[in-house]
Amino acid sequence: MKRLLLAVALLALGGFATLLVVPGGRAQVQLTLEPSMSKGAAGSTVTIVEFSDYQ
Amino acid sequence: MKEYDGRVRLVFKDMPLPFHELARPAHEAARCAGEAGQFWPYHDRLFQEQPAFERADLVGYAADLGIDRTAFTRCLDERRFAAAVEADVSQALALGITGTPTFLVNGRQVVGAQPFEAFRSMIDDALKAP
Repeated sequence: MKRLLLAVALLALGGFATLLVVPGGRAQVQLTLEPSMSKGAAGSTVTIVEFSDYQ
Repeated sequence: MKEYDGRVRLVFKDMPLPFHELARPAHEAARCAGEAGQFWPYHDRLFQEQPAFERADLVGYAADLGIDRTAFTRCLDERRFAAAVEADVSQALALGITGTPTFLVNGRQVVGAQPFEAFRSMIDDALKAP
């Protein structure tokens, strides 16, 4: 299992939130988070991001 | 999720695979449903109905949820969320994610469908972390 380092928590940006992740300590990847596509409190200790395909 | 209420957040990200030709419109449709406040019910319906994702199917699922058909159809036809879906795919690829489902549990990558127990141990570890 590949480990990724969470660099920065959630930042509110005009209705969207952004999560910054550093894969293996290399380049940063900025994830845009759509609030309507999330469940649970924004300040939760654990964030599970699911990349999925409906088909 | 209920047992972790207030401590765990789940975020869905679009990753239609390129060889699933009906997937991308379905992902865009789910975001259109989200605009109407019905993302999760629509998301659940898509997983129930896969792979019936022709345009008429997508509109019908929205109508079943009480979403305004005209507004939903306009959203689909404009491809209002095409760029947002593409952005999710780009972010996945930048993280080296190529298959679905892939999960990040506080950044720790889990590939493939897993029993809930697999997540439970990672969640519990993350909750215990200082």
